[in-house]
Amino acid sequence: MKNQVSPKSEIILCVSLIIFSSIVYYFALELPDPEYEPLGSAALPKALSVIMSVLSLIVIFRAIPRIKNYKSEPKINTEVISRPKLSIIIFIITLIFIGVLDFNILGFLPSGILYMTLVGYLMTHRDLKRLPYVVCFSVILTVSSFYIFTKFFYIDLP
Amino acid sequence: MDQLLNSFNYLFQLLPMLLLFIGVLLGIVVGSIPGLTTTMLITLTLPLTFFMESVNAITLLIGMYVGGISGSQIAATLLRMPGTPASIMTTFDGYPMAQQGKSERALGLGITASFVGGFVSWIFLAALSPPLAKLALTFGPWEYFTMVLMALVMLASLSQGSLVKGLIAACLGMMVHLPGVDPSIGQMRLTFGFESLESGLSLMPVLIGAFAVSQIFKDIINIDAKPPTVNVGRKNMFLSFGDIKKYSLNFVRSSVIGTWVGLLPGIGANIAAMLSYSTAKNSSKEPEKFGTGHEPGVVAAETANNASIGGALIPLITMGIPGSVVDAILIGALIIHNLEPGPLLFSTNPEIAYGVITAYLIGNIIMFGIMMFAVVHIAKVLYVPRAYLLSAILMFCVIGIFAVGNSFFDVWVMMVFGAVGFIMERTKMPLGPFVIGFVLSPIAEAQLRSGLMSTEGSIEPLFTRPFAATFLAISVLSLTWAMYSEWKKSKV
Repeated sequence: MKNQVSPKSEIILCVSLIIFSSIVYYFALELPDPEYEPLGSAALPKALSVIMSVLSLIVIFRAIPRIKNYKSEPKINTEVISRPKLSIIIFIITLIFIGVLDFNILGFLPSGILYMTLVGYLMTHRDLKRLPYVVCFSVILTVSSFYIFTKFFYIDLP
Repeated sequence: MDQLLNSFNYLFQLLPMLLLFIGVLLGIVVGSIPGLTTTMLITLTLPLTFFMESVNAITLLIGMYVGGISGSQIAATLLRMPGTPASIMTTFDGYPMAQQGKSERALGLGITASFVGGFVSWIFLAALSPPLAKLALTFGPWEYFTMVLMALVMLASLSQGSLVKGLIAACLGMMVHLPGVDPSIGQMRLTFGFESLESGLSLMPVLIGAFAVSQIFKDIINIDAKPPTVNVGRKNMFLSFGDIKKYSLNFVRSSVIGTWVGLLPGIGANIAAMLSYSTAKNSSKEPEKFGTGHEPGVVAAETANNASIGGALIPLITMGIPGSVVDAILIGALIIHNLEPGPLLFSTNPEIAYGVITAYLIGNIIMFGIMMFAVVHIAKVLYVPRAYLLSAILMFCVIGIFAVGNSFFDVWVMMVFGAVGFIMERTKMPLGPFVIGFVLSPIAEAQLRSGLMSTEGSIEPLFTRPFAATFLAISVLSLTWAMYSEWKKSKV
């Protein structure tokens, strides 16, 4: 079966995993030696770091020979357009929304309405005709969830 | 028996029954929408169950589990788009039947098969769980450690894609659980200087991030996909006595296969359906008709995928070992409610153990009723605009996670694991071993260290204790078999 994942992405991912494992291993070295039992707190982090690095190296060694021959799959003319950029933009907007709430820049009601409207507007392909529906939906959803969480679950949203 | 009856009595009260009904209905609705999964629904509901009694929370989640697996056949039959992977095999014959103008018949067969599969596996669940729990009480740390190892290895070996990637995912899941207090001696470790990491990473932000958030961003990429409109009526949905008689062997065989596959750690409903479908095809006098709208194909697939739920619940309530990813999340739900999943559940919290058993049966009955009478209306859910649905789910993820811990740190963690889950899916690294590694690693570590303390560092019990040695042998065999299969595949 043809592996559809690009070897370069696999290599990047596995190098990141090796770096992550090395950090975990380094911090595990700082843990005290076992005193009351044979293994100690550092054993599992160290073992997992080593196993993870070895497995990542296997994936890297398997991916390297495929780099030359790898061709990304040809774009098939389908009716559905893939929108990875939209996904990334909405992810960033969500991070901003969480930051706004976390650092108390705006309260939940105004920021929630703004966030939902913006996300809804982008997901409906910036169609101005649908904007009134998106705004109504955002207001209803944000206000109702605010009241449900504060009045029923006694959770104070920012 | 008395406890089982008590549990039925409890479930027949208004609130638990209402929650079970809501759970099944939501499960069916979400399961029927391609892109939204049962795992996602259950994960998203976890924060809300925080405010409920434990039995009610578990009842709601079991309802969602049953409804989700059954509901996924709607899109599989009508649109050839399985709502969840459990219904992939249903598309092979269900969709051709719908194309031939027999969509009601296909749905009727699938719904009845789901109910029968659920009912037969319930018999196994009710009959096997109490004695298995008693047996599990004799298990010591070595048995638990090897059992967790077996679950992890089997899940990594049987996950779709590469074995090495499955193992990496399991290791990553275990590593994510490392920060915080060491479960054996209380030593603080790997907090990297962050105070928030001292209590470790909570289960819910990691689960919701990996399953729900990553799925939302995956769905946004294909937001333009619009399903074609299909009309469904209610005629010919109920099966006659003759139909039941005709398919009785298929029902029983597929139920047993589904239950057995569900029992094995790490193998989900999709594998159960696949195995049952191929068995039905191989034992049929007309194997060439399978895949062309042949009724036994729908029966085999739908009976087995529902039966696998009952099978998977057996190791969950008797030993605290998840049979599938959804079961790992259910274990998480028990932990959140301060309950210890495992054999002691039957003696310390029998209302929960028997609650799972009874909720599963009643959930199946409710599922049958809702699906038979309301499938015409539920099918309309397939056409809900994604822009509204996905943005609302995203908002609920943020406030739901904040509500549980009253902390934005958890919300950031959720987003990080949303990105991790998304990258893992894009690089074909299975999420199942990651989650099970995360849930089970503290148990594995604590049991191994406790075992080593009792033997003063000797690992001899791994080979001398019969159950521990068996579990270890199964782990080694699964790993060897998976390595051999992968090597063989690479040679082709």
